[in-house]
Amino acid sequence: VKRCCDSNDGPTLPRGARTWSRRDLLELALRGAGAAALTPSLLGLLTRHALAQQAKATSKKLVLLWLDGGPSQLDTFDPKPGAATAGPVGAIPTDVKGWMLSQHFPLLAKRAEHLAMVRSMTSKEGSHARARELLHSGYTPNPAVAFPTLGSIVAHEVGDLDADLPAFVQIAGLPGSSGHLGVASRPFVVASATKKIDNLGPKGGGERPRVESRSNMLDVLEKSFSAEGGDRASEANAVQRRRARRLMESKLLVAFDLEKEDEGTRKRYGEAAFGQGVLLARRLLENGVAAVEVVLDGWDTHVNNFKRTADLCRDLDPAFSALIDDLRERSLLADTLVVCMGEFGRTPTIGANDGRDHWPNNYCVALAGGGVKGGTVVGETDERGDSIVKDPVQVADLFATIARVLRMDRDKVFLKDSRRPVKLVDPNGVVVEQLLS
Amino acid sequence: VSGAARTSAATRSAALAALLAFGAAALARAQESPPSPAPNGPPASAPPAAAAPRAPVSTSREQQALADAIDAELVAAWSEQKLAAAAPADDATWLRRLSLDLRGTIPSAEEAAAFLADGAPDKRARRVDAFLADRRFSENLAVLWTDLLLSNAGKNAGRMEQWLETWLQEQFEQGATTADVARHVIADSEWTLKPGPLSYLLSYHDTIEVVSGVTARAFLGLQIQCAQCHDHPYDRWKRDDFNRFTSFFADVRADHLKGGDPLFRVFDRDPEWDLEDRLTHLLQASRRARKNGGGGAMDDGNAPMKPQGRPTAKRGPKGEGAKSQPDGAKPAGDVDETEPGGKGDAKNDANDESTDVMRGTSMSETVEADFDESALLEVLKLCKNAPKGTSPFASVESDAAALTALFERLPSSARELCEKYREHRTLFHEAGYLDGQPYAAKEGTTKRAALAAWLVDAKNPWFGRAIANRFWGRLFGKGLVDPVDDLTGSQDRILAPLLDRVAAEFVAHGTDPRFLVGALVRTKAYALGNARGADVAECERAERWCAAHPVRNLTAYEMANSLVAAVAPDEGRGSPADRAAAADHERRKLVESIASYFGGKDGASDGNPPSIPQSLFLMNGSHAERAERFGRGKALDRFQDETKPLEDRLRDLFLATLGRPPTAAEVERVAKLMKPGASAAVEDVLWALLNSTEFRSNH
Repeated sequence: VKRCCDSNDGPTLPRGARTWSRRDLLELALRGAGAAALTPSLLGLLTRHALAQQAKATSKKLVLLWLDGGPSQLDTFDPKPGAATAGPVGAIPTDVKGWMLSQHFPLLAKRAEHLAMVRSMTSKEGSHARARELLHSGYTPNPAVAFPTLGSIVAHEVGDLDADLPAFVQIAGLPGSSGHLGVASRPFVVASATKKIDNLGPKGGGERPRVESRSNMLDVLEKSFSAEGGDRASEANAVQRRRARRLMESKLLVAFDLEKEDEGTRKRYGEAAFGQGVLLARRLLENGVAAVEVVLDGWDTHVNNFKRTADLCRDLDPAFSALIDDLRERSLLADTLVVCMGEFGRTPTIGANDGRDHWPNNYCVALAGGGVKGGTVVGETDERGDSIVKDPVQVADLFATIARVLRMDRDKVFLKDSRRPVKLVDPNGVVVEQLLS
Repeated sequence: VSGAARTSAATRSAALAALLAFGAAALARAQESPPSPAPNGPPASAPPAAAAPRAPVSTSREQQALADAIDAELVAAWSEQKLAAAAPADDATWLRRLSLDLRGTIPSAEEAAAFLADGAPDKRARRVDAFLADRRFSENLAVLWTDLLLSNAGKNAGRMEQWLETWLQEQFEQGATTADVARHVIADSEWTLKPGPLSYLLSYHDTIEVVSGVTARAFLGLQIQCAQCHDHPYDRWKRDDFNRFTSFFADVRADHLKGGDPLFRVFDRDPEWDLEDRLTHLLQASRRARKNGGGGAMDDGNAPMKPQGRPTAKRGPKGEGAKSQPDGAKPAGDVDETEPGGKGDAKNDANDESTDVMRGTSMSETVEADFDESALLEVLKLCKNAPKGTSPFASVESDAAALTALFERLPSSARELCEKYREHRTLFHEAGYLDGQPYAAKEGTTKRAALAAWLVDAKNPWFGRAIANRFWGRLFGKGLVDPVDDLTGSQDRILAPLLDRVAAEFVAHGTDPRFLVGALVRTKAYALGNARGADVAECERAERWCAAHPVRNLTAYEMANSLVAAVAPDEGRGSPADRAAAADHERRKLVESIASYFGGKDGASDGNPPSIPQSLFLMNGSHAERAERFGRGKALDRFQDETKPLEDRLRDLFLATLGRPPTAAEVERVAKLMKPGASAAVEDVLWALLNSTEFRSNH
């Protein structure tokens, strides 16, 4: 019941055959051809399947800049200069006529033509855990269903699950769940951009002869265990072990090495961990990773909102801006959707100790690239910034839009054979047409 | 790839068979694995348990009687299903399986060797007795229940998990029944430094919709939470059922007093009183804040509660501690600092998430310094004038526009409170049991105490079956009803009368977990070997009907325990107790550090499929270093003794990791691959053993 029922995007293979990697299939097909051991139809089937896998890996990519804790909409993307609710935060004009950003975003303000903004996000989820899940999966949380997180969705649908590098990398934060999409699209979690990846072993996979003899010894054990009925489990482990070996030995590992960037670039992204994480995200995208989530924690500003938000924006502004610049320069921006958001907004009324509380009633999501229309603002709030006066957008709508711009099939059904079939994104969502270019 | 290469040289039919077999490997992962553990910290001492230690509720003979009955039913089912049972597992496999299932860890090399050498016919029965009495059995149960109860509590649950787990472990050590645990976590109210059973409600107190769903799932095996948003499409539950069940939690409030030692409390008071109290507090605190310089730091409301304000257990400052209804008393207009609301105090530590359990739960509680009081005063007047038990907004409800206008004039935090109150009043006003019985309020008890009593009542149609089915699933791979927590909705169910029987006996034995687990592991079915053969569907069918034992991956908890058991045996300095404590500390640390590789909490919901980080950890991880240390210790000494045959020298390593001696063929093949130099060789062999699927799985 909890298995992943894959889609109809290729010829039909026996259930479970999807764990063949493209490499396996091509290899098998070629060897099979050489040995003339496979029938032409099976050979054709295998080759077509392998090619279908390859074709699936499109150039679409996603970066999620996750602002954990719930950023204040008023102090970031929906400023209300002069209003009682604004506090001490001013607004600055952007290079798009008629819209302003908070004074904390001097760099983003100069790139507004590439930004699209939804100022009318709304939901009913005011607790961190549930809102975090809602904004990551597009579905109202339901403990009975493991909804996959956005990065896993993108990795599974448009990523190459058989590359050397994992298709979805998450930098900092609590690991998201790939839910029913299965193990291959799980987030590969990097605790910090500047920290080495856990357990990669000695450079280049260690002393090779030793690895080989150890692996041969392991084969002896696997063989005896398989003979006793452990064959299915053994094969599953073998697949992941081979992927781990490929990662350990991959030349693409250099993507994780920020030392390869010049100092100027590293500074441009901001020297904080978050900026370096966003820089790492760019390097991973350049090396074929389909989805990267970078987490910036600390937005839960129940106290001292203004100073803390200003500090956090000092990390966010340069990182987001440098990402836009670099993706443009590398002609990657058109295919890469950058989404910047948190769980919810914060109360417009300013509390004691300059605090703002949770406010799912109206909040902002900023988008860039990936086929959304730059320089767009969707929705509007009243002069206090605490209620939506135009075009409310539900989280399901946002996910429908993301599916559209990344050319994912939003109606694809998972867990088809179970009693709880689940669509890729919440079917209640309506694409926000204004955001499309 | 090598498998594929070999296949390519085979005949056409062999190629097809191999294709099927390879594909099936992935399917093997879908097997259910038990919930993975909560991260553990250093043990904290929980308050003494209310339940006194008691004598075991069942004897091994009683357990065996049920086991025999189960076997008889299964044998009949196999014959009807035309299934041949797998060959019985050998002693080594059985012992390792039992140890992992009951104690969450593999047997030590010494335990394995002693068991294999034991010729007594009742040695298996004695092992079951011993493991059920093992401290680690209680710990394992505590880990399971903590995960079940708190896995939906989000990232703020860390400290709560430790408290709950420690308390649960003590309870199970003292012989607590499953019903005891359910009663305590749902109905307990007290002020305490270490919340223990209160951790459950404290973790969810602002999201009663979640706690009601978790309660139904964990204790009743029912999926009612889908009915929160819509009538269940393929189950009997309606939104009304969900709302009425959730209403049992409508009066639950939680407090957290900071100070030198934080104090926790779960208590009950009716929502009208709660609303008025919170609004009053808001007003008073904001007046104070303004007096103290408006908008600036609010000293009083934010200061830790004064010590003399701490109420004693059972008696809150206003008498509402353990009572459900406030005797008609309304909160006084002046809110002093002894009021254990802690309003606003949760804010002070918003930066410090690890120590603030209430973070994320207090969206309405910040005190605002500067706002127009008139609307708030109006609402407070409505509260005061409303007859007890009716909504303060009842009198104005008919004029929707006026009410909206009134709410819009409220400061946002007050508006939030009022809106949430109104929503809950509409949805969660009438409590009712899931079997259709109405709830009748009784003086001197709370709604949730009534719920707990109904849950564990011997006549409850689901409690016994839910627990019996869950443990069946844990020990046999799948529940008789699968998924294990969908008793009424699942289509995948076998042998319903058998589940009823097991449940009835479980309830008759006071819902003692040792009786249930003891009976299940004493069956012959539990002692069967794995399914063999190329026909994957047939293998899975055999596993479904318990005619073969499934292979499942270890959880993070089991993996950490087993690694420590295998490669860091008890050979340090100090007293045995010190060494045991050090090993305990080490494995608890390891559980946390590998939780993300081995599924962490996901282990509960989507099994624990192999992953790249798991493989990286096992190939290159820190335990490898430890293995080398082990290699240099006593094992190496023995290993280096080349006067002994290699088979004997490998025996230690195999027993310590796989719980069995190597076969002659393995000795021969491994010998050929061994590098010269005993140290390198022992490390290579250990590496291979720890990376093997045999080590990584319970089979």
